[in-house]
Amino acid sequence: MGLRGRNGVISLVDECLALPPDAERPVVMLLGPRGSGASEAHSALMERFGAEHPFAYVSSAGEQPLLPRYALGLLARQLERKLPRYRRSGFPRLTLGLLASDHQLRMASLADQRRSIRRELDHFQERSEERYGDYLAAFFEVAGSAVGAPAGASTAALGLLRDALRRGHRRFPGRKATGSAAWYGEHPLIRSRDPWEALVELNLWRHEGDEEDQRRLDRVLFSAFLADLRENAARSFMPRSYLLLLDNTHTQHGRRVLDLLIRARHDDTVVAGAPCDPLTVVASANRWLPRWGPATGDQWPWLLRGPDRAGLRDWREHRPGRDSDDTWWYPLRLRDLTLDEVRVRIELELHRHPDLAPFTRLAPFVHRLTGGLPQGVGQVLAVLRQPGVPTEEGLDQDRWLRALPARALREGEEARPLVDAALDHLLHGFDAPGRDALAECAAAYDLSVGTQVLGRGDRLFGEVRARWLLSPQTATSILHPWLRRLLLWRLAERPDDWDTVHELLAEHFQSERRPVQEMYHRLASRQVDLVTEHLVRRFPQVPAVQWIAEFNTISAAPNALPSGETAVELLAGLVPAEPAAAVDADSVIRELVLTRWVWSDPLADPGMRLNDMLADGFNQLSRIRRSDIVALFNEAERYRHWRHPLTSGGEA
Amino acid sequence: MPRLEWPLHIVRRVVIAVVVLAVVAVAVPLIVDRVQDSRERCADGVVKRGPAKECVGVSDGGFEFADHLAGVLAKIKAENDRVAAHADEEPYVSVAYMTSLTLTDDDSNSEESVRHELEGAYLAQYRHNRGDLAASPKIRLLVANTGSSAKQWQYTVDELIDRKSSKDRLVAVVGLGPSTDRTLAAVRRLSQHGLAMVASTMTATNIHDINGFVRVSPTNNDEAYAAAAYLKREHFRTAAVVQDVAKGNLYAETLAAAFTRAFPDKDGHRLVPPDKKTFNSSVSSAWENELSFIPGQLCDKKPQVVYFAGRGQHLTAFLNAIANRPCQEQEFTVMTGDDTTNLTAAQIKKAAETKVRVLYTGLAHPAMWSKDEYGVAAPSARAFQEGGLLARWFPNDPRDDGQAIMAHDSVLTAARGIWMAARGEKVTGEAVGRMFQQMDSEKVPGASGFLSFGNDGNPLDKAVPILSLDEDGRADFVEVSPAHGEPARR
Repeated sequence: MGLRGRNGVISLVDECLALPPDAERPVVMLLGPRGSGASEAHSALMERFGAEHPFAYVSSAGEQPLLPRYALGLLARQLERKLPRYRRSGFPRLTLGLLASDHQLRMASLADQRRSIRRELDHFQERSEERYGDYLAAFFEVAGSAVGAPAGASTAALGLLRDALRRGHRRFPGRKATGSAAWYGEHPLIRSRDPWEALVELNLWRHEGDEEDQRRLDRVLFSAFLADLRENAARSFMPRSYLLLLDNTHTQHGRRVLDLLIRARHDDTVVAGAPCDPLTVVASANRWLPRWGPATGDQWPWLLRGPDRAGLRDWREHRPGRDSDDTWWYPLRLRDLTLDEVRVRIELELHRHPDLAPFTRLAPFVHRLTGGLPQGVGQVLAVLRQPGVPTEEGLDQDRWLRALPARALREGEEARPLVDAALDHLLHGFDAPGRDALAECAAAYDLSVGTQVLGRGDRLFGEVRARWLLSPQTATSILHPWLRRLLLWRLAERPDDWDTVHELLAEHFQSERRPVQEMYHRLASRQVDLVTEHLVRRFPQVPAVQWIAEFNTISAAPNALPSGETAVELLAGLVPAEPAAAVDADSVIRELVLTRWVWSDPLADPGMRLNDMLADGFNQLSRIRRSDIVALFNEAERYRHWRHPLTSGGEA
Repeated sequence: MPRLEWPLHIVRRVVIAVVVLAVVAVAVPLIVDRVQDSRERCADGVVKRGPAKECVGVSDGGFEFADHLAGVLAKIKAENDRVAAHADEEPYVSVAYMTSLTLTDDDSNSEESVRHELEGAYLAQYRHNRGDLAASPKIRLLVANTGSSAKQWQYTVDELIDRKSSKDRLVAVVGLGPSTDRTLAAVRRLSQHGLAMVASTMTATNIHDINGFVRVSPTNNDEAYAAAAYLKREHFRTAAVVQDVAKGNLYAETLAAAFTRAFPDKDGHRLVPPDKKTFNSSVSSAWENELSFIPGQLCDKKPQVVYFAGRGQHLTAFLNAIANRPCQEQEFTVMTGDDTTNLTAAQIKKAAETKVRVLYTGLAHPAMWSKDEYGVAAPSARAFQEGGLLARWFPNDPRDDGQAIMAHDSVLTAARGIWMAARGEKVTGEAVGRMFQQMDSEKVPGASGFLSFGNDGNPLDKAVPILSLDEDGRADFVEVSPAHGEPARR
C-alpha cells in the first residue's frame, strides 16, 4: 500500500544504510498514538529494504515478556540471513556469551570450571546444533512468537520476514563459538582477565547473581552483539549497515532492549572510543518513554521532528552533544494523513478491494471524520467494504453514515461496532471506568480543562498525553479528533451525563468569564436560544471577522442529536415550528447557528449538503449589517465554493 | 586492507565466468589441436603433413605408407610382433629404416627402388633374428617415412628420437635416403641424440665424420675414380662432363668434381671441352631445354665419352637429347653414377631405346658374387640369387638395381654393431655407433661385399660394380672396379 506520509522515514533509512560502516547513525524513534502507522512503517521498511539488506524485526508487544537475551538471539538469527550480494554474517561473541550463560555449570571449583568450560560449551553447542540446526535457532523455538509480524504487514513484507527466519537456519554445524572467548577476557565490565574465567563469571551472574549482575550480563551481551556487527561490517562483501526494526518498544521489555542498545552503543562509541556499530535502528513507541523525563518534554533536549523532512542532516543539526546518550535519539512524531493521502490510500486499496470504488468520493468525509489517523481511516474503509452499504450518493447513504460508529466492523470472525473496535485499539489498557471518565472529559474542547473541571486529576491527562493521544497541531491540549468523536459518541449514549458534563463546563467557563467557551457547551446541551441571544448581542459589538471566529468556535460544539436522520431532517427538527415573522438578525443568526452546528459534525452532514444554506445565511447577515460586511461576503463565498482543508487542523 | 563492496553474487558470477573463460581459452585450443591431430592422424606415430597431406612418421609395419609396400610391410609387422611377443625370452632393440616412402615426381628414387630397399631390410632382419646369422638381441625393424623429398624429416626424426626411450628401444637408424641437404640435416640431428646410423645409398663424398654414422655404399669419389679407371682401361681418351648444378644436389656436385679430378692425366686423357656443361634441374621450366642444347655443343667437341653427373630421372631426358643429336654419325658413350639404379624398369627401357650406350657405376649387383666369389659373402649373395629367400618371398620383382642389397647390408651392419655392443651391459645408440669402427676383424658379410669402416664413416676398399644398360633395358654386370687397389676380401 506504500507508506503514505512517511516518505521521509524511507529516505532517512536509505541514507543510513548507505553510510560507511563506522559512521554514526541515529536511533530513529517513530512516535505516535496507537494506529498512527508505526507498524505499517516497519512493514514498509521491510518491504523496501528487506530484499537487499539484512534486517531483523522484533515486536515487544507480545503477551510473553521478551527478555533481552532472547531478543538478541532473535535479532542475530535474522541478521545472519544469507543474502545473494553479501557473505553470511556471524555472531560468534554473542553466541558464546549466550552459551556461557545459558545453563548452570555444575563444577566444584573455579579452577575445575575453568578447565572444563570449553568442553562443556562445545558439547552444548553441538547438542543445540543437532536439535535445532544451529544454536541461535533455539531462540526462535523459544521466543519466536515475539517476532510476529507488524500489524497490517503486506504479503511481500511477510514473505521477507519468513525468509529471514527460515534462511537464518544453517544446514551445517557452525564453527565453534568458543573461538572468540578472548574478547570476554578484555571486556571492562568483567573482572577476570582470563577468557575462560570470564565466561564462568558470566555463568555465575546469570544463575547465582543478583539483579545488578543480571543487568551487567545483558550489557555485556549487547556489547558482544555490537562487536560482532562491527567485525562483520569491516570485512569485504559485507553490508555497510544492518536494519533493526523494533516495534512497540514502549513496553517494559521493549524499553529494556532499547535502553541496553543505546547504553552499549554509547559505552562502546563515546566512552571506549570504538568505531560506531553499523546498526540502523528504527524503533516505534506508542508512549512517551520515562527515560526522556516528564512527558511535557521540558527536560529532554529533543523537540519532536516531523517525518516529512526527516534526514541525517536534520538529525546532525539537532542532535544534542555526544557526551549525553540522548545524542543517539532521533524522535519523529508520526503525523496524520492529509486529505490527499487519504484519497490516494483509498485508490490504492481499490487494487485489493474493488468494492470500495463507489466510495472514493467519500475521501473528504473519511478525512473529516478520522482526522487522517491511519488506523481510523483503515477501520472506516473496512466498514464501508461490508455488504449493505448504500453505494449511491444521496439521503440513504447520508442516513447510513450518520450512524457509522455503531456500524459493525468485521475483524476476522468477530464483528462489533466500529466505535468499540476503534476505542479498544486506541485506548488499549484503559479500563471501562477510565474510558467513561475520559469520555466525559472529552466533552471539553481542551482536555486539560475537562479533567480539571470534572475532577479527574492530572493522572488521566498525563496518561493521555504520554500515549500521544493529544493532537500535535495545536498548543492547547486537544484530544485527537477521531478519538474525541468516538468518545463523544459514547457520551451521547448517556444523555444525562452529556447534559451534566456540558452544564458543568458551561458554568466553569461562565465563572471564568469566557463566554465563547461557555456558549460552546450551551449549544452542546441544545440551549439554542441562549446561544443565539449571545451571538445576536455580539453581532453589532465586534468586528465581523471576530464575530465570525466566535461564531465558528461556538457552532463547532458537539451534538447528541438523533442518529437516524440526515442533515436536513436534523435541521428540520431543530428550527421552531413557527417560521420567524420577519427576517432579522435574530432569526438569521439562529438559523446559521443551527445549520453550522449540524454541518460541523461529519456524521450529521457527511456530504456537506448544508454549505449553500450557510452561504445564504451569511449573505442575509451581510444585508442586515450596514458596514464591515466584506468578511461576511467572504464567508458566504467560502461555503458556496467549499474546499476541504488538507489537514484536520484546517477547520475547527 | 580496503573493504570490497561489490555485490558478492555478481563477483561470484564474474569469477565463475572468468574461470570458465580461462578454462575455455585453454581447453578449446587443446581440443581443436586434438581434433586436428585426430584428423591429421594416420596411425600411431604417423600423421598427415604438408600440402599433400602425406602420411609421415614411424610405424612398426602396421601402417601401409603406399599400396605397393603392403606385402613387405606385412612381413615386417609380423616379424616385429613375433619379436615383441617373445621379449621375455629374448631381449630386443629397434632399428628404423628411414627414407622417403611416399614419392612424387620430385623424388629421384622410384617406388620400385624403395620397395626393394624394404625387402632387403626385411631380409637382413630375418637373417639376424632367426636365419643363418641369428644373434641376440633381436631386432624390431621400424619403418620411417620422411615424406617426398624428405620435406617432413623433422617430424619423423623427432618421432624416432622419442622412441629411444620408449618400449621400442631404438638404437639405430638406417637407409637415410639420397644425399640431400635435408637428409644431411636429419643425420646430424639423429647423431646429436646418440643414435647409430648406417646409410644405404647415400654416396655424396662430403658427408663424413659424423658421430655414429657409417655408410655401406661407395662414395661418389669412389664411383668417379672407379669409372675413370674403367674408361681408361677401355681406351677412352676424351671425355666431357655434364653436371646438374641444382642447389643441394650433393650427389651431382661431388660426382662431377671427383671425375674432373680423376680422368685427366699425363697419359693423354683429357676433358673436352675443359669446362663442364651444366643444367639446373631445380628450374623446372628450363632444365629440359638446357639438356636439349648440350648435344649440339658436344658434336662440336666430339668427346668419346660423356660423364653425366646428375640424377637418373634427368639421365633419360639427356639420353633423348643425345639420340636426337645433330651429328648422328658421331657415337657417344655415356658414363654416369649409381642413381641410375633408381630408375624404374620402364624408364630404363625408354633410355635403352635411344640406342645410346650407357655405362654406370652401381652400388651393388647380384652378379658380383658370380664374378668374384671371395669378394662377397656367399650366404648373403645367395639370398639375392634366383631361388633365394627374396625371390621366394617377393616373386616377380627383379632386384637388379642393387637397392635391396644396399638396404640389406645397412641393416646387417646395424645388426652386427648391436650384437657387438650387446657384449657390454646395455645396448645404446652410442655404443652401437662406436662398434662400427671396430669391424676390421668382424667384417659385415654384406651382399655388396665385406664391410668395415674408416673413422670418417666410409667403407674401406668398397668394390664398385660397372654396369651397362642392355637393349632390353636391363642392367648388365660388366666388372668390379675398385676405386683404388683391390676390393676388400674375406
